[in-house]
Amino acid sequence: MSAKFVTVGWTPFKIWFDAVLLAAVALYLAVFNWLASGGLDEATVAIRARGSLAFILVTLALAIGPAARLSRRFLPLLYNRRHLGVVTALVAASHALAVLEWHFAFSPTPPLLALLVSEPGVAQWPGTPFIPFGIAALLILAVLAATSHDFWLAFLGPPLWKAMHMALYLGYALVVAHIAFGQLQAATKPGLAVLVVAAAAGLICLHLAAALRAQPWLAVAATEAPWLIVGQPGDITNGRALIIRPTGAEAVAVFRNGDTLSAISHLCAHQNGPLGEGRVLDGCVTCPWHGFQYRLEDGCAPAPYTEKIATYRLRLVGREVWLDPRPNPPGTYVEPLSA
Amino acid sequence: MRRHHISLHGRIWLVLAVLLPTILLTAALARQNRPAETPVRIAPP
Repeated sequence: MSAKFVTVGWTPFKIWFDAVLLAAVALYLAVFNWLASGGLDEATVAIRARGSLAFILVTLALAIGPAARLSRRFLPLLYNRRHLGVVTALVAASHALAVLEWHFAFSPTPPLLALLVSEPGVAQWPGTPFIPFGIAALLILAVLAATSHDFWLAFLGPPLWKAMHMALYLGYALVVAHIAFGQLQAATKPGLAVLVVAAAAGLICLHLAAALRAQPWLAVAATEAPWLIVGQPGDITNGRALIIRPTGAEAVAVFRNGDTLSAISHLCAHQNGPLGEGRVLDGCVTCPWHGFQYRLEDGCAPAPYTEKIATYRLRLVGREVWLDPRPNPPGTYVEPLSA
Repeated sequence: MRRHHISLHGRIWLVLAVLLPTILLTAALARQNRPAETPVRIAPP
């Protein structure tokens, strides 16, 4: 949340994060070169070192999200995930450049064209072209890195930006296919296969664990349409929310703040982060992703910030909390429900 | 009240949970069935 536009909102942690990241990249490349030296030529070592590093980095980038959902200790990494994404794209691009400089440097065909037409194994069964998978993945990484700045987030709007950046999941599948039908076809040692299988399996388990933990609460239809029965007041822990996903409507977070309940949009106005997984701090709901805050009673960010989210009406009927799933316009005041 | 379906991220990862092992198994089969004379495709020149 920022009151004015800055190119990069540098903080001591961001600088430290980037320094550690770049040092880790340099260390990995140095150690890979050292371990692989002797058996292979320098260009091949460079290709493999950068390619494997890009795979490790993209795996880490995808692991940060669910890890932060499972444990708040990983949240600082989430705040700086875009820097990791940009470094990943640069490493992947340097891998592609190393390939172009070596494998196609002496071809009479221009290197970029040769890359597409001289795929080894295309005409052979079971030869599966693997380079197109890598090119497609690199294009996705490049677009995501280029649009990772807050300018593009504001320009495209959070829903479109977030949807676009979810293409990284497709990119990951393409990277796995690129490795599986490329280097793994020729590998004589099990190291890379173990890395790829362990990384993919680990990521899947991490994401599924996070998804199971973030399961929404099922609200049932009340006798009076379109109201939904959320549950009993005691179902909601103080400072936390139940997430309701009404059929055909946006998800709603019903928060408890002391003796009152309030319902607001589950989606943060910044990057569509899961507000319902956040906590109430100082009377405001705090998004678990980047700390954007909103008042419970009107969905407005406290001054000087201007973000607004939709609010919803609640009713107490007997011992049941009822929710009207029709959103109020963002910023509409709704009296918190005493329950 | 009971809990029900998983989130969008969870659904994407359910698809990937099927897709990624399928890719890896297909690649393993392709490698296993490669004719002996098929040259190694990524090799030092």
